[in-house]
Amino acid sequence: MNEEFLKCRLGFIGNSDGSAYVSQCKTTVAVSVVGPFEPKSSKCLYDRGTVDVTFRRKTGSITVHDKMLEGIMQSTCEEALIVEQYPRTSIAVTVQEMQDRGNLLATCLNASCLALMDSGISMHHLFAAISCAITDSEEIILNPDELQINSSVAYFTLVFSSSESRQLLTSHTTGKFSHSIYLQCMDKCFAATREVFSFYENMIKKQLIYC
Amino acid sequence: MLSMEFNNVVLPSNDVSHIILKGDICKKNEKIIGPGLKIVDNKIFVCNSGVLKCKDEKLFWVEYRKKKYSPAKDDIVIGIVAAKTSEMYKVDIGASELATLPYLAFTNATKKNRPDIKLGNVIAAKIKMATPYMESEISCVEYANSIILGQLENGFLITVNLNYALQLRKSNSKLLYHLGQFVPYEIVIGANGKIWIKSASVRTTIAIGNVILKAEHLKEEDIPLLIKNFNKSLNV
Repeated sequence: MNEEFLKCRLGFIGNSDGSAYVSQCKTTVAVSVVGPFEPKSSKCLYDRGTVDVTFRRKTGSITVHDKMLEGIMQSTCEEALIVEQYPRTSIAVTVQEMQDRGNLLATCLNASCLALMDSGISMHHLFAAISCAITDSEEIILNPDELQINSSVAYFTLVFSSSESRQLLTSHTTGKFSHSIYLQCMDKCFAATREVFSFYENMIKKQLIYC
Repeated sequence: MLSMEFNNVVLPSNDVSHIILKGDICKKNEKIIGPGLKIVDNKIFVCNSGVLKCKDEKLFWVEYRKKKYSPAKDDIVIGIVAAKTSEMYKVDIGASELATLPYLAFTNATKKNRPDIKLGNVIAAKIKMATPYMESEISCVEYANSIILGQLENGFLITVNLNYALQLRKSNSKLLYHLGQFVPYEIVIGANGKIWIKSASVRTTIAIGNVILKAEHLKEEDIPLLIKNFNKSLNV
C-alpha cells in the first residue's frame, strides 16, 4: 500500500450536511449525508434513528446486486452510529459511483465513514473496509486490481471497527476458501485498517486547520 | 496510534478516561463532560471526531464541525414561520423538525390580543424545552434584562456554519466591532447558524452579509483588509 492509495476531499457539497469524495486506487465514489431529518411517519421509529442508504450507478438503474451493497452499507453505518441519540429521525446517505475499477464496496464503505465523520453525527466508532483476493496458489493480495479479482478463486471485503479490541463488523465473501485462509486474511486486513484510520485522522486534522 | 492530549485530534471510540480523570477516580464528581463525549461502563469515550478541549481542569468537551443544529435549552435562535394552527405557530429553526411557538408565548399576548405574524416571517426566540423525543418548544416572552425577542422586520437572513455562528457570538468578535465603526447596523446571531442583518439601505445590508460570509475562512490578521475593501465598495 503506498501513499497514493487513498485520496479524499471532505465537504465538497455545499447543501448537504456532510460529504466526501474518495478515490481508492482507481475507484472513485462521492457520498453525501443529509440529516438527521424528520422522515415519513411510516419510516419513523420512536426510540432510534434510521439510516437510509441509496446507491446510484454512473448510468442506468441499479440492479439486485447493487441493492445488496446498499443493505451491507446500511447495516454497517447503523452499527457505527449512535442511533439512540437521534430518535424519530432519519439519516440519508447517498453513494454515487464515479468510476469502478474493482474494490467498489470497500471504497463506498470508507467514503461513507468519512462523510459521516464530516457531518458531525455522533458515532460509537469509525470503520474501515479492506478488500483482498486469494489466488490459485493461496496467495493473499490486499487491495487487488480488476485483473487480479477476475483471476482469483475467492474475494473478501472485511470491515473492522476502530475500537481497541478487534471487532469485525461486516464480512462479504465470494468464491471458495478454507477456514485457515479466512483467518489469515482477517489478520492481514486488520493490520491494513490501521493505515486507513491514520488517514482518517489526517483528514480531520486538515479539515480543522482549514476552518 | 495517536497520542491523546488536550487540543489534539480525537476520533470516535478513543478512550479518554485516563486523561480526563488522571487516574483519580474519587474526583469524578467534580468533572463535567460536554458534547462529543459519553460514558460507557465508567469509561469516557469520544463520539465525534474533533479536538479535545478542557477548561479549568473541570469542563471537558470535543470541538467539532457540524452543520445541523440540535436544539438546546435557553439558546437564542432565529426561525422562519412555516405553518400556523389554531393554537400555535410551527417554526423552522434548522433542526430535524419544526419547533412549536404557542400564540400566548409573546410579551403582552392574551387570548384576545393575538400576535400578528404571517407565514414566512422571521422571528427571534428562546428555546424553552428541548428533547429529542418531542418537538422542541420556543418562546418569545421577554423578561427583565433579557434581549429583545419577537418578530424581526425588514432585514436580511443568511445561514452560516454552526461553529462560525458561535464564534461571532463571542463578545470579543473583532469583525462585528470593526464593521460597526463604518456603518450602523443591527444584527441578531442565532445559535442555529442563522444571522439576521438590518441597516439603513439594502446595499449596505447585502454588503455586510457578504463580508460576514467571506470572513469565515479568514485569519484574524486578514480581517482589517477585508473591512477596508468593504468600506471602499460602499463609497463607489
